[in-house]
Amino acid sequence: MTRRGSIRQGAKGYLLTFPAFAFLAVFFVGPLIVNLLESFKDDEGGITFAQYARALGDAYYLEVLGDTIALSLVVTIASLLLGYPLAIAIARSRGALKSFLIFLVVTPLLINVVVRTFGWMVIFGRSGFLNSILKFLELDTITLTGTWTGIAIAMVQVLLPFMVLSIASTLEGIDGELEDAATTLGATPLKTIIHVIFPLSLQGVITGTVLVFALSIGSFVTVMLMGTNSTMVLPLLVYQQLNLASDWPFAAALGNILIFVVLIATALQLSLSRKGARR
Amino acid sequence: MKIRSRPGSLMVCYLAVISVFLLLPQLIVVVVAFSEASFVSFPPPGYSTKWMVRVLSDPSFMKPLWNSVVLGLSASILAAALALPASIAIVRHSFRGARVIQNFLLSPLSMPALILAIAMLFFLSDIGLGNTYAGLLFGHVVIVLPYLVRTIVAVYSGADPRIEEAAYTLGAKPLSTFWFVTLPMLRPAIFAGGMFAFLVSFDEVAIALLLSNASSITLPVSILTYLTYNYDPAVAAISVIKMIIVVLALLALERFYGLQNLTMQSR
Amino acid sequence: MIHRLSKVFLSSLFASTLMVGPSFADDPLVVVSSGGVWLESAKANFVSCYEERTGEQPEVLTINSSEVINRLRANPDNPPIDVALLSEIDAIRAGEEGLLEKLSVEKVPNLADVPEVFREQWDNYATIQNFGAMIVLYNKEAIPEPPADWKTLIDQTIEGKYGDRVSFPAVTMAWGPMFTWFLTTLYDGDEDMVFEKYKEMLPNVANYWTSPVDAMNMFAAKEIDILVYWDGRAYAFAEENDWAGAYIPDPGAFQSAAMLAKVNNGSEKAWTYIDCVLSPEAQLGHSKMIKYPIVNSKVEYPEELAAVLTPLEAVRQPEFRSFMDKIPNWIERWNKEVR
Repeated sequence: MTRRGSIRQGAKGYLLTFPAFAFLAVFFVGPLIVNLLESFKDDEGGITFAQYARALGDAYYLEVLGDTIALSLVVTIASLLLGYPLAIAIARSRGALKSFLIFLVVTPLLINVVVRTFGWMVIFGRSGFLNSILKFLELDTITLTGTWTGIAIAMVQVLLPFMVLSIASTLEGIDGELEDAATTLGATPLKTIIHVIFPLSLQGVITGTVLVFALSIGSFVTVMLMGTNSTMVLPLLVYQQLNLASDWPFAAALGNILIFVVLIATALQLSLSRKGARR
Repeated sequence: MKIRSRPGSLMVCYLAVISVFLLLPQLIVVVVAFSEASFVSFPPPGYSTKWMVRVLSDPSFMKPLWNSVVLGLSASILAAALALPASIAIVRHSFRGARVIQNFLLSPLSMPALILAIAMLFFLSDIGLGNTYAGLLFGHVVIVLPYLVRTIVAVYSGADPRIEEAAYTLGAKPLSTFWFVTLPMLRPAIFAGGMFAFLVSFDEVAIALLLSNASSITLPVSILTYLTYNYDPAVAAISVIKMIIVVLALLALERFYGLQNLTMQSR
Repeated sequence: MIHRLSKVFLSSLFASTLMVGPSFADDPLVVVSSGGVWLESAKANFVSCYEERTGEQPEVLTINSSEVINRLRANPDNPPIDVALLSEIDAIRAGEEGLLEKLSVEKVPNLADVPEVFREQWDNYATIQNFGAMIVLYNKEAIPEPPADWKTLIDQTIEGKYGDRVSFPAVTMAWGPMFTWFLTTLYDGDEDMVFEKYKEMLPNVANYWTSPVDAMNMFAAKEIDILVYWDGRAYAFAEENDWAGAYIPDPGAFQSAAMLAKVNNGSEKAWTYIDCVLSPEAQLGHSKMIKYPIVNSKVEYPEELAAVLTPLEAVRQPEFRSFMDKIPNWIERWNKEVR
């Protein structure tokens, strides 16, 4: 392409992205700036870093931040491991079976998060569904409400569609003959998946991973309903500050810390997917 | 990918387990919706359709349900109109900062909705859009836009640019190339992204809680405020009705379009 | 300056292009109610009265207190709500921030029959619409003789007398700070003691509840035997289920209330609606539907209703201003210490 052509291409690119860009610049960045200003505001209308100092200078808030990131990582990895085979199944199947599998994976999204979490609490309750089955099988009962495990399970269920469909879409694009070639050359199915399919689906994996991580790090309803004080996450603290303490500046600061973490994750994704593209 | 050998027994086992995992909570909600008790209990002491009937005849649920459908559709369509040209540009017109713009367009995804909602409330009133329907609509467009950008970019970057080039070579004008070549290629992506966008808007509560008013109140808001002081299975019943509506929409999509396109396939 | 300019520019741009300017004087009155049975009662008792008097239909918003106050803060000059329903603390905050207009007998004649105690702490910026209390709901079969007073209940919970089949409200539940204040009154105002008790009870409670729905579900499923809960719902449950009982432990309970207020810069028609809410007929009708006591002293409860209402003598109104500034600190202590 000539230099002139590429300049024209560039201008066209800016023109076409402008509406979406301008829209977000006003209605997304605008509120974020309001929020940022709020987090730096002190009582006399001056500027202060006190809110950030309060959050970052306190071992408790750092611990909660760590737990929040850890929970999101666990949920993301579990979604990946659990969802990958399902993505393969969706990519391989055709017709009614495929439609059914896709329907299956989106059903968790069809129900309100509060109501769905109540469903989980019925399953995990002391005399709930799960324990009734365990009792029937004469096994030990377990308590999952109020534990990280229970919360993670409930979150994986609803975030799985984002992971599965992201991966399935790249798997659709992979040439089946490559796999056949690998199998013909004597690779076991598992080896084929690890060495042939997985690297090719990396873009989808990265997309799904970042999507699930970002969605889980900002969610709090499941934790609020199923958790206790020992399973605290940052978005829930934001909720408390807004609704109970009526302390918007501190809530804004905590929220900005969360945004910062997600920005880092996104930047990481950017460099990862560049590396992935180079392979 | 082509159809290969039959799925192994391991795969069948896995699919069975994951089906239960994905469906169980919703099934419990369905069962509770048909309870005859006035408290939520599982398993219910008896079954009846009284909660379904009650909810269907209750305007404080049915009106928000309709509002949510309208809001979800308008937000998805508006977001699609913004996302389509932007995604095409990001993939095809390699310009400086395309990557950065792409990530910027995706960034609302990772924003904790709670913080965004309260900041939006104050920002919208600052710019004169306080307490308007446009405020609520724009709020939802912000959070659903990334789903459309993501799916359209994913599909379009997998598509072969030679097809469009061929159209140009054969003398097609840019607009007709877009209309007859690019758009049909992207339709699955628009539907898939639109579906996600709709579902996300349909279930969004933080923004709607602060930006909706008495005439635009959405279903998740009415469910949440109902749950603050009421404990009966009505909420399960309205959830089931909502589920039925979405399933019907999915079936229609399947009928007209084929649900498999939801995987945003690129070939 | 730049901020201001861009503000003016943006607002004129959006207001003109979208034709969605500020609301007009003849817009319908916007009032607030909680959802479900509360909304039904508001429609049957308050809205109908307002319609009768004015021939107009108000819009009823079903949102919670924190959303009401945030909406008022965001739009103080052109509030999206005319009659607010707030939590006690939010009502005090809103009054102090100039978001509300004082109630008076001239504007609201029925206020004359509402005892001063229901609005004194709010400086007349809001009045209690109905109130309730937090009492004990228990399983009669599992616990034939429940403890007579709060302190015994707490100490026996700590001793493990009830296994871990007890649930108290969390400080982070909407009325948790009020419950915490109430507990401090039992321990001579010693906050540290109260938090110590919270901590000691932790191993022997099923949980500290934040979601009233989940708490009730646990009790109904017999996963717990003792639940500290709202009186109206507790009595109703005990009435429907023979195995359950509800009572007020000594020395009584704290009063929790829904606060009614006129929004500053809102429609003048709000006075009529507030007068309707406080009228004896509407108050009695409301009490019958929601099973909570109301505030108009002219109302005489029928016997069967009186039996399930917590009498005013049994409740103590929290001294909100004495602890409202401590709430952020309590929440932080709760999060950090009780885990």
